[in-house]
Amino acid sequence: MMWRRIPAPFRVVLVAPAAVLAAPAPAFAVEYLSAEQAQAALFPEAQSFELREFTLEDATRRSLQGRLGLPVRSRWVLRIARRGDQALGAVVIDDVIGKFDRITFATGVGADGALRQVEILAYRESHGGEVRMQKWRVQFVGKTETSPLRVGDDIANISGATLSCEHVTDGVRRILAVVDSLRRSGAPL
Amino acid sequence: MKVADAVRRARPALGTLVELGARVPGDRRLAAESAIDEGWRALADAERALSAFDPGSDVARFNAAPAGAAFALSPDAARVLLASARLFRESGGLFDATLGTGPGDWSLAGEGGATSIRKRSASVRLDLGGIGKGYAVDRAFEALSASLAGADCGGACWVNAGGDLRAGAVDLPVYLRDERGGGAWPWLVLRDGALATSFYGPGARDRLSGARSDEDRHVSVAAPCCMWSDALTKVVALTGQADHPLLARHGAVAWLHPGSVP
Repeated sequence: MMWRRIPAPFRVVLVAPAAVLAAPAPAFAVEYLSAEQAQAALFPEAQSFELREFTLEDATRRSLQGRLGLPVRSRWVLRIARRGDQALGAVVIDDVIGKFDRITFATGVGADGALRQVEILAYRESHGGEVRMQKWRVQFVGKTETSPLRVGDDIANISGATLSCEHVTDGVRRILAVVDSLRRSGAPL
Repeated sequence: MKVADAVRRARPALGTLVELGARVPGDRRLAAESAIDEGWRALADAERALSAFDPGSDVARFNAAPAGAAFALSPDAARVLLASARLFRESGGLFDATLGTGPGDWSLAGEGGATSIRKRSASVRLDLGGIGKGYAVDRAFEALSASLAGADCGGACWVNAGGDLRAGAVDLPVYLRDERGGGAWPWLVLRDGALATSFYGPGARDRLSGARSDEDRHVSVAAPCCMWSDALTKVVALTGQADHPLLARHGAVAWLHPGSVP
């Protein structure tokens, strides 16, 4: 591993010049929030959360798919936020998979059906490349003592072309439509 | 001594996934969370001010205005447009916030600390996509950093909007993504500075008017702040010069590298 300090008003230390990067890609994953932390962040005023599972009728599911232009599964788990007897809204946790990434996110939907906020729970880069990543991990393990870089370093960041969050946006749109549909069919949300 | 913990949050924003983080002593997590909330607010404000899609933004107002219109700019729009005008001059027209719709058809004027903009043709359109994301990262970073300092939590914080990254008083390990094959490589450690990376190639999301796009390439620029690292990636990508003289003027360093690793 090569090191080079760049003369600049800020500090940049090159770990590996890009031109000689040759090792297979490592895993890159960040866990941001647990489901419990996310629901508390989305509904800080809630006193409790009730986990309920709902199944969309096939006709409803197909109609949502047609309207959204997105696949919609039938089974949904909602975390219903409550304060006393009052339902404040629901939190839905879902995954979206991009070309090389998998994102787990929580969407808070208020009792009025409006989107409260989206919080990312976890981000994993390079899904599908696990075999290559495993080899790389083995190579890297012995170097952790002398290197400030560690596999799974808790603050490592990734730089690259903008990662499109289109999948997350679609996922949020789907959740809003599903919650709305459940509410219309009489679900106590 | 209390062990420092990293508090990290991520949300979809600026058309990408944005992470705000801070390293604080273990008993200051709440202060860090509240500083991160300040960062989200600043990010949303900057995004609203610069977006061409928000009808209330100065950019949308300019684009919808008739030729000859002039109006005062918000501080966010003024800062980014002043930097864009400067970079247009310094780069000999390479950096163009109108994307070719009328580089000479807008002008700025300053009076008593306020900046106003004038539109000289009906067809000119502003698009701050090449600089606005970096500016929004700077704004979020400044708010996060000021709030942490106010709570006596130090300055170990960062903001990462995918291709645009700013780090404070923390050695931040940065990985570089392989845009074709997937995965990410340990690449550098950044401290007290900004790093922007763009990827250009067939089917890539980043595009440059007037540039060849038949081959993959990454352009990375490190600079003291993210607005300049973001904007200067365009100059480096268009000229293919990682040693372009403008870089030194802005205290920046650039790298050109392949889009994927063999």
